[in-house]
Amino acid sequence: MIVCVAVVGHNNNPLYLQSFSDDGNTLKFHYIVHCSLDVIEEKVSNSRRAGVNLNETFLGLLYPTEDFKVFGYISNTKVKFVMVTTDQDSRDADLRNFFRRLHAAYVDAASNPFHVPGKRITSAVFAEQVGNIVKSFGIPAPV
Amino acid sequence: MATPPLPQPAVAKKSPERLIVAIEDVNDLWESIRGNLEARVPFKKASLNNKARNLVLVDKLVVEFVQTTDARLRRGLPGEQSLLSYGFRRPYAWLIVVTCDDLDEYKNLLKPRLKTIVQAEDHEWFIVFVSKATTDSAVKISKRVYSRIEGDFSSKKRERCCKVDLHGPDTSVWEEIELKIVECIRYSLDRRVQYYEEEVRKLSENRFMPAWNFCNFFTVKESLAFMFEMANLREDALREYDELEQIYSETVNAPHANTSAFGGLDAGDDCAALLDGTRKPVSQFAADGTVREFDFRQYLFSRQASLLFNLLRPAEVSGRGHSFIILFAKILTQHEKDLPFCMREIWVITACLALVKATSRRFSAAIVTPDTVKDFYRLQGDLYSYARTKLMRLADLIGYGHNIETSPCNSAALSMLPWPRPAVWPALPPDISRVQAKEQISPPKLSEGLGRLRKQLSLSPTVLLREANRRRASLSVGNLAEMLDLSRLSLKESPAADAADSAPAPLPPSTLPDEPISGAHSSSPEVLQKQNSIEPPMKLPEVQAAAEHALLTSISDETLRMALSSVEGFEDFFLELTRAAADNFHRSWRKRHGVVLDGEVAAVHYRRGALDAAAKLYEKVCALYGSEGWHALLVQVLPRLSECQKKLSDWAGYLSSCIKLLSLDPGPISNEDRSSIQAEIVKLAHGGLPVPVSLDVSTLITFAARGGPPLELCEGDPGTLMVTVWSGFPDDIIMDSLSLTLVTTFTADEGTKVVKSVDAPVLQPGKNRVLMTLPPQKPGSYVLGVLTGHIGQVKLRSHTYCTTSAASSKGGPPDSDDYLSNEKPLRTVLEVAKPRALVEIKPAITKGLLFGEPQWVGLIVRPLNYSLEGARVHISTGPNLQFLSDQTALLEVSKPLLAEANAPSSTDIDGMKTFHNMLENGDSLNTDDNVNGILDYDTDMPQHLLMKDGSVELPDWARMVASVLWVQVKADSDDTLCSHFSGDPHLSSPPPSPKKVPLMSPDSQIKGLTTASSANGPHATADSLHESLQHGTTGQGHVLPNGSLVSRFGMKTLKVKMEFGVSRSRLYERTIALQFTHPFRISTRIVSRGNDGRFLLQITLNSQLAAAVTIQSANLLLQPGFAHVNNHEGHPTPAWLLPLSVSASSECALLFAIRSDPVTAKDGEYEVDYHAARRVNRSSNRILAKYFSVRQLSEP
Repeated sequence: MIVCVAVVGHNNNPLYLQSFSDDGNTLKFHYIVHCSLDVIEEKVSNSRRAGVNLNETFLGLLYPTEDFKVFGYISNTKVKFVMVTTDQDSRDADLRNFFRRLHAAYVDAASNPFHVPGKRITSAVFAEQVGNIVKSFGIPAPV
Repeated sequence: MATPPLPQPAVAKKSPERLIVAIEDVNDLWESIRGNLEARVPFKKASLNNKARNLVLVDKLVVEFVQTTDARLRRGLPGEQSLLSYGFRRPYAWLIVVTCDDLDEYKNLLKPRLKTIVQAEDHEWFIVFVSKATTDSAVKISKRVYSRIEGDFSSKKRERCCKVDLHGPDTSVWEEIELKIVECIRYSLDRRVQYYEEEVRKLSENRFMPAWNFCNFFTVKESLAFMFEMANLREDALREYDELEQIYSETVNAPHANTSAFGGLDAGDDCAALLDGTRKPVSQFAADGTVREFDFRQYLFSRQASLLFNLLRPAEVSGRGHSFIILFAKILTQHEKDLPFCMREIWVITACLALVKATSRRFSAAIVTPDTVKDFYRLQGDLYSYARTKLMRLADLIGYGHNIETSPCNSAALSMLPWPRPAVWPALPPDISRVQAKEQISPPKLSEGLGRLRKQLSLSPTVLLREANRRRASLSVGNLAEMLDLSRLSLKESPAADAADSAPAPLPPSTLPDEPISGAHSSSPEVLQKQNSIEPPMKLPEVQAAAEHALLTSISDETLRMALSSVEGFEDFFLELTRAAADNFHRSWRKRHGVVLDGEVAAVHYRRGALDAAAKLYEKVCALYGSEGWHALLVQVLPRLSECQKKLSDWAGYLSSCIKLLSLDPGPISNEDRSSIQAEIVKLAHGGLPVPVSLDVSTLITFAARGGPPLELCEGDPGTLMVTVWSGFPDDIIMDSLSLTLVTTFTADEGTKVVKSVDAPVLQPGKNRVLMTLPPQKPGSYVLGVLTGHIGQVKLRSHTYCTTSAASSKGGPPDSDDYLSNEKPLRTVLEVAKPRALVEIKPAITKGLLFGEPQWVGLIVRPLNYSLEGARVHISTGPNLQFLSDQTALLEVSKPLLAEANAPSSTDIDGMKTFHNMLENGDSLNTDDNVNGILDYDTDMPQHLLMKDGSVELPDWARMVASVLWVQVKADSDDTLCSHFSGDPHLSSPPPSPKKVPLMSPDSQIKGLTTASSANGPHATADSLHESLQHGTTGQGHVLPNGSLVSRFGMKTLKVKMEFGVSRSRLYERTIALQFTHPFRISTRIVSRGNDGRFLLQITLNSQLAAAVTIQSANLLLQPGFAHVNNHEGHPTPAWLLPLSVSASSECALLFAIRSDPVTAKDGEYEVDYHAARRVNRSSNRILAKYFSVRQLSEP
């Protein structure tokens, strides 16, 4: 189950964070997402140094903890997408697809002329889209 | 392969072992060469084949020389099992040491024996011939024997002999022997590896057969690994273990896996043995035929770790270890029901700490890449924080949860971590005092002050009580709910759903308080059912006490037991782990991880009262969260920091924290809280602060200038500047004062100016408009600098100057994010111009004014792009100019365009045009009808202004437009001039011949006048205009370029002073020259002279007027000695000449017949006087000469 989805701006500022866990404790996800930025930075700098995977936006597993997993994705504009899941096994293709759709939703939200770049995303439409993406995670998209 | 089995070693295999080289000491010579050989161990350059059959250079190959008579090589019986288990231990080379100094002896005794030895076993051997010969003959014989041996045992393919000369000088032979030994080892190794691989292959193929036994496979595979390890081929050995682990996992996870006992039930098993391969005799696996997963996995890891340590790769041990611990923890979770209580948590803690300890001891940052170093520390940090998490879980379980900070970090770690789910919850200890102790633990006090802003986060995944009770008794839902009231934790899940969740495995704890937990599953359900009915549910203190008791009795790790036996012990251990994790994260550049854990360290400091240390660490955390805008997290830390600062009396810090709290996103803090924070700030500001405090409120108060072009001011002018201030305070905030610095953009010197607000402002939440007073500024462009507000002792500074943004246009405060303001262009808000002329006053008319008549003088007041609001004009006159200081002046708009159309010259256009208008509207001023008919222009009414004491104030409408101020003056005739004329010697002499009076052209008028006057100085201008006609003509205005006055030609001066600008601080002064003149210039000429003393005097009147005049009458007053002919009383001759109309600027002449009158003559002087009465035709007293010339020309 996906318990949290977050969008983080290129200055590492939170743009959007939605918890899908039912215990009402969103703050712990703030913490998890915030700390995962360390790992994202590490991955990005490592791949840059290695000179490989420069075009790869999907960052893969960030946190291998016992209880939850954190996956990351980074756009070309250094906007980061982070997802926290309690599933122990997720298919790579599902994850990639999830992040691609999330990215597209973000692009839509950012294209809104009333959205101030670098500010929190307040669009209800975006929230709804994210909710749909989360719901349909793991379900093969209809052809 | 018919290899005789090796004897089984007495001790279970222990690694690392050495390769054995067997010594067949035929002639008891071993001791004589032993020293030389053993000195070469370990062999430096041994080339061996690895598993892939590639030659690799092994340095430090350790071998052990064992004589064949040694017990180790002699014990045991042959067997297939032992061949596989121990075959790899057999000697890898056989050294046959012989000597012989007699050919016959060799042939008869030694050779057959050697043959026996080399053929007895299939092993790699070679012969060392030791020569003890000292004499030449003996050397010769030994040489001969050796050559025979070579002939008998060496082949062309392979040299199997070498000769050692004990007394010879040559030492290279030892090297040769070493090479030979290595060669033998290589051959042996290759053959054995091949053999074992074949075995492994066979076993692997049969892996899915029912009778397959992993233990056999493991034995063979591990033997292979041992062999590689002995040969220093550790990479290959490691690979064997990796494969072994993989195959083991496959075997265990296979769907029809033979589920044997998991293990982990032995004493001391809770203490991880992942680096200690010797704790359990793994060789027993083979004997028992079963592999206990718990032990075996740890054993495998310990073997891998030890190989990696030997390969000098401790960082890899960390990495593998971290994954292994996580994996193993999961496996433990699967078997939790069969394991002792909290086994998993304890195991993880001990495993992490053991791993950290072992790896950090072996790790050296000097020999690895920086990336590896970072990675290593990161893993250490991960391990520490993993252990920390589990420690917190245990502490929470036994009732130390109040000592754990409910931070997001801990909540994230714990709230998704399930409670232990043992088969049976531990029973209550017999000692009731423990329960009482737990009951006395009071729940944490809610923080006072700002601490209430912190959310109480859950640290527990579900309710501990239910978890505990479910595992000891089936409770009804009603009981459960009742019981939960005692819990400090909230119930989220539905109890009913939970009760139906899983079958409980209850145990009557009261009856069996000391029974080992592992025996629980043997209880029969019927018995349990019966006991349940009388079993009351445990309460939370009981649960905690039971857990504590169980843990303290079961934990074998001393450190951990100490840590859990008291709150202080727990806190110390917790602090140690947290600090270590934070340090390692900092070293690995994971600043966020590190700083957040610093915050956890701070929490412990705070609880212990070390506020200074806590504040320092909290500051770091706040800075981290604040810099990246994680307000939700910041609000969890900032109140705590502010509490520390408050208690430390760090008022500046405390206020700054309050300001930060206020400037956070409004979401996490309620409005009431925000208001109370503000009240706190104000209260402190107005008292209670020992020293003034300056606060940066850039995030809370932002300001901007009004949009549009910058305010423009003239140098030295004060002004006001409108500034928009956004206040983020929740309520109105009353400032004592508000000031703003203005920064010049272009001048480098003394860059800033401070301006203050008009009055002490009250900033409302949101947008405010504040008027700032600008004192006179130096020229330059100014931008907004820093806004400073004062409240009591507190100075609030805001540096955030914002341009318009989308957010602010919506009414909210504008962007204050640093990264958005980086590229903001500086917008000039104030331009102060350089000193320049601001106003110009010119006369509309300067010349052609008539003496003795009230004349209207026009002053063109032209503001030069500067407001003349409230300006006052003060006029005073020079000598001989009368000016009525209290009069009604006229003011009207100057209309340059109109004037231009009507004037041939551009000079004084304004004045002229204005004048036209005056004429039009000046009926009350006796304007002639003709003029009205001709001038048909704009009909703006001139405004009547009352002048007092020579001063008049300009009305508002005149502040930006050029206007003409008309005032009346009257010039007296110049007395001195007059008397001078009277006594002019020319007049007393016979009049000069008439001169031509120059024509008056507008440009040359002055000149003409001058010439004429000088030539005809005595003409009777002075006192000549006695008639009281009000409307004289006026001359054309003219100002000399240099401003000097030609006073002797009737120049009078008018001083104009203008006070203007803000509060009339500016002064404009000017002296205006006015030229007054008489209507006519008079010259005389004697036209003809009779013999009788009569003569005809021609008086030429040269009109100085710009209008036609009619001379009604004229008489000439004569001095004594002259008389009029015909006694005409001085009327001209002929009398019908009068009235005479004189056009503008024309001349006419009157003739007078005069005779000398000796009777009246006194001094021979005469005086000519005339009295001209005229009536001005179609003119007013204000008509310009120039105008008339134009108008009359155009007249039909």
